[in-house]
Amino acid sequence: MIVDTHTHLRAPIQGVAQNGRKNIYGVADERIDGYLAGFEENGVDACWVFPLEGFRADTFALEEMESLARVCGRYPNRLFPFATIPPMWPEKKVCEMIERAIGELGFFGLKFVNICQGVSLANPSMDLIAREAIRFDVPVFLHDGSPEYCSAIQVVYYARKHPELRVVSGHGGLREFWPEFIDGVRELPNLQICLSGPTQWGIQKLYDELGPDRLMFGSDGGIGSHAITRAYLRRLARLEASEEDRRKIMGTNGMRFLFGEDWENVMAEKKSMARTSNPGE
Amino acid sequence: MAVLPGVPIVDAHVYLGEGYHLSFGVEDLLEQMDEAGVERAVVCPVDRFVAVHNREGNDLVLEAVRSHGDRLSGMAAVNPWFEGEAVDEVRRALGEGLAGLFVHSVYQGFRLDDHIVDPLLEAVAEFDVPVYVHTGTAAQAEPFQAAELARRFPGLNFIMGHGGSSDYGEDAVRALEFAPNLWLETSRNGPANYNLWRVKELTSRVVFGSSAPEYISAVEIEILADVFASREEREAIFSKNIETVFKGRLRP
Repeated sequence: MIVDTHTHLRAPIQGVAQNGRKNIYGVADERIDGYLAGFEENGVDACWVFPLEGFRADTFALEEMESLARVCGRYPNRLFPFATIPPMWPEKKVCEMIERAIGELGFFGLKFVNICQGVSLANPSMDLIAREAIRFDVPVFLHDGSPEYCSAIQVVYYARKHPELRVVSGHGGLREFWPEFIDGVRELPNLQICLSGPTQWGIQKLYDELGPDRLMFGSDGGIGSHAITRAYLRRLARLEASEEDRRKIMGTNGMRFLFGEDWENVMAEKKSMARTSNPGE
Repeated sequence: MAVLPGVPIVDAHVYLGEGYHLSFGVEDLLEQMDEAGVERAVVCPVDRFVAVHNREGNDLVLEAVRSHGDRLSGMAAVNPWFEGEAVDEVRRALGEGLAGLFVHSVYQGFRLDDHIVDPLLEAVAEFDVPVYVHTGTAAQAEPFQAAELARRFPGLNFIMGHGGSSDYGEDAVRALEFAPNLWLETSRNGPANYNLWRVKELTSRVVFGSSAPEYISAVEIEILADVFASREEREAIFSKNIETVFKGRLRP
């Protein structure tokens, strides 16, 4: 089983062009059909799904969240959406939006790209988000590796500040800062690493130092080129690890992190739900 | 490796030596090159040799280049904080056969565009060989800082190491507008930035580098080939552009 714990999906938003809106890499983002085809082509069974526009344009955040819920709701056993909330919105509004995302729409966690959302992980607004995420028992997934708002060490200290919050580093510190997670993960049981970012050498070192249980495959794919996902699949294929450890990193860790030890039964239920909503599934 | 049959693949950036962060021996390097079908690689010394033990590192690279002249070219590393001694050392290393200068302002402790590096670049200009500068580290080694050096020394060719890497993708592209003597090196990137470079029609300004042992050459070549699909593009990135950067003096 392959679970990509870091993907983005362009869900339809009124006023934002579909099939033609280019992302920062100069490539048109895909709609759900292309997104799913890409992951099927690469043998990916399930994805954690994050939005796109809401990180950069907070006016789209709410509508994008609703749209993402509708799209992912059709694939309950394959797509596990996370919501973003503009951290600097008023406290009441932030709390209402989290209530809507987690309590009503059933999102699986919250995702932030603080370098885009303009606020450091040490800002009190992120403490409010931690408080609410703990209340709903969902993880916070963070873009990281980008000074000055969300470097690796800032993620470590966010996890240290909120020991009851489950924190995921979305890029494992990117190319430069992955070594900071070795000490951080050893100390903090609430910190998990998605491997979409470190060098091949860094991925191997993280595995050698930390073992398999805190590491998860992720590609940052879904945003226009299927080659993005394939790149990290190729790199992970060269990880020197036992088959059992590889299975954990490539898939079961991502499932266990979301659904606990009972994840296989949860998935069986979700598959049944999918058959009901999509007879072809 | 069948991405470019009949054309020699050159890896513009690999490391050599036993360092604090990275370690890679000549035999391991050659094995990786063979697996990837890489004909020649440009070797730089690893971390501790870049920061402090410059002469030791340069001798290590020189020895590798002399022993495997048919496969390896080399770059010298000197820390500008050693001032006059650094200038003497870069002249010695280039005079003895190294083919460029490797600058890593993070390991060497300065802002990439700090004028502290100027005396070294003036010495390099005497030999008319290229300069590889590490980029991708915020504030200390950014793409526009690489462009500053390239503009300050328009007669020298510069390789923007790691092509700015990851989040600096757009900066790297913009930096090239201002410095025709600046090329992007591919390591520490992936298909997202490769697509951007392709869309911006920069294929003639890109050189393949694996940064081995940070990455596995054969894997990275496949990843590049996923994006750069035509023979013309591959020939430019894997083989032709690097010859331009070295002004035909890549091989001994």
